[in-house]
Amino acid sequence: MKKTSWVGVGRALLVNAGIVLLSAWIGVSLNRAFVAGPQQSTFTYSKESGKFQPVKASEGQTTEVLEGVRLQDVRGIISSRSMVPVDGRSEAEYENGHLPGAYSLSVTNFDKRFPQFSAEHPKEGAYLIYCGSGQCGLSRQLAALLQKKGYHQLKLYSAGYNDWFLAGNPVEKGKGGSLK
Amino acid sequence: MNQRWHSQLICFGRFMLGLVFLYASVGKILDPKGFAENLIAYRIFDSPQMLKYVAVTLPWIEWFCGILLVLGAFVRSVSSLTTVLLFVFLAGMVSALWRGLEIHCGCFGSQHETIGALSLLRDGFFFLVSLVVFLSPVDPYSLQGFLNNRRMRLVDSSS
Repeated sequence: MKKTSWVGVGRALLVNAGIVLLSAWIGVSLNRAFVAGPQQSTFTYSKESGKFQPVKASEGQTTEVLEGVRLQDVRGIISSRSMVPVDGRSEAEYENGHLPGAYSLSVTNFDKRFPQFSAEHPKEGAYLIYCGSGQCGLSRQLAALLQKKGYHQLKLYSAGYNDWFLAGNPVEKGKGGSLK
Repeated sequence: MNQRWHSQLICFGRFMLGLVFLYASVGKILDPKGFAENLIAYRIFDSPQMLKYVAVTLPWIEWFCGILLVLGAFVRSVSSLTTVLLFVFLAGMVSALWRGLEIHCGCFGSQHETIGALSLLRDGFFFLVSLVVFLSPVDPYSLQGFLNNRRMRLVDSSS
């Protein structure tokens, strides 16, 4: 009796290991580009339609992106420090991980946090606005709020933190300079 | 009669669980990046590479579990895996709620369902169904049960 139950456990482990391995093989094979990366931003903001639209690979650099920037551009911006990244997500999300050097300016706490932001960042400066992903909408809201306050050199990284993280780029954790 | 009723109930549970797993897998298989973004929100994975492997593998595990449960093949093995998976999903959701995260559960692909009492109750219910299917004898309406019965009849007739 005891022997039979161990045979059953062994068979269950074998079957389950088979399912997991087969799933991993199929999943990775079908999504090789996604798994291997580096990732391309999948959304961009079109001023004409006023909507976020998938970036077509064939369009490449010739896509007319008036407000949006893509992953490869963001890498350059971060390394050259030519713009200040501004994170529109909640403070908790920011603390969990954000773009290097990003400033936390949560849309939900905008009125409370803006005075500190404006004291440290001039209106003439250039800012890279982002949130979680192309679907979160917070970056657009933050850009609109900042424009009302007289900030006009804004770029939108619509694919956001998720895109940056999934591509394996370095992220910073904790409160950073902005929340201290 | 009672035994038959019990078998039918187990068969229903197995079939329902299989359909739920199949349904849950399809959206994630079609949109692995969307699923990966749901997983990021849970703040469990520090490594993007690990997260991507999970995002492309888990939906297929669900698909295989679903199809095998619907057919009724390897029922004990598969239901042990679904029980573990549902427990992990439940623990992930409880952990997210505990940490005060208001995030999409990602249970059925890219549907925007925020984790709440309903998600927990639904996952808890499926966890119990999976556990019952795992602990019960394989029902005779499954492929495995059918083959077992046939083998026993052959043994009986030969002896």
